[in-house]
Amino acid sequence: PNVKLVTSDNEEFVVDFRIAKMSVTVSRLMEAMNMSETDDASLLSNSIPLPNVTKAVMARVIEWCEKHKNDEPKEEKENDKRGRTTHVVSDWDKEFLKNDEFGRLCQLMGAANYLEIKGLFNDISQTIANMIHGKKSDEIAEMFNIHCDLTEAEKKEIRKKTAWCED
Amino acid sequence: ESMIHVSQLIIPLRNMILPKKNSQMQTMHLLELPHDVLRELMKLMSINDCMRLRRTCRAFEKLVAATHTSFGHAVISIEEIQVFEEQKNTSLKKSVAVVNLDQDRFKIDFTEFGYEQFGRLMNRMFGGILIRECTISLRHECMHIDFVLQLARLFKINLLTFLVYSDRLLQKV
Repeated sequence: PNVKLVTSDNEEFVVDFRIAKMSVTVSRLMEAMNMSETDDASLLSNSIPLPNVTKAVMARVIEWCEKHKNDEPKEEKENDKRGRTTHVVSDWDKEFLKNDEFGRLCQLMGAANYLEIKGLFNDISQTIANMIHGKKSDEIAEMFNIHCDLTEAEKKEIRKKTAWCED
Repeated sequence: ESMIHVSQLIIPLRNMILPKKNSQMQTMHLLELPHDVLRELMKLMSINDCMRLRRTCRAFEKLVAATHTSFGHAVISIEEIQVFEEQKNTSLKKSVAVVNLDQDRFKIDFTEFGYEQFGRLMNRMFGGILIRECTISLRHECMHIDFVLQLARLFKINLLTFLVYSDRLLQKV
């Protein structure tokens, strides 16, 4: 069975029920609209509006979901040495995200967050964390197009505060 | 009436966004992402990476400062290091506390900063700090109990362990 998803720019995407279910947000909306896998009429007569996702971003999300639809539910492993979670980004995912310009990566991350697709969200956030790792402040600012509004005095003050933990 | 709407707080961040060069597609800026998304991102970053991100602009400076952070394991030991004194043109030995926090390593000068200041600095950088497991490792040195009490006051520690290596130290105690 198929489900119709409608983006903010009024594009309709018809996807498999299983793909639609990968998004917690879409799942909840389907439930609220009494749409079920066994009730074709309910799927045909309804479509899910997604006002926070554009056509271009939705196409990327669906591409990711298609690839991962048969994945076993992954257990989040905590890296005990760091005490923080590190997500393993598969080679396919690296390749998938490699060519995205950073602005589009942010859009995709925003969409993954809104649609609640945890696997995609983790992939992107780990990718961005890896991009930041080991870079100097001005390199980070340039990479992410951040306009620095800190005065020299403020920068000095922050540097003073954090001097003890610099490399 | 006096309440400030969330959108009013977000506008200053948006104002900072520069137009991207040669952009054909509609793109998005990192700071346009909701704060909870950025906080998730920071959980994956090391403390040093967070500090560098903090110096990029005001919005990140605020965001990092308001973030609660947690560490898996802290190992604290005392080491002697050689310090060169320029004025006297001599080098002398000095005790420092070496704090290994997960993948980051900090040296704290007792004499100038002291443990308390270290704690204050840490807490000023983040909204709150949780250390799941803290090990204090002593080989030949003594550590003042005040430091341990200070540590417990400044950080939330789930498990505190002492490693005492030498018999001599026990005799000293």
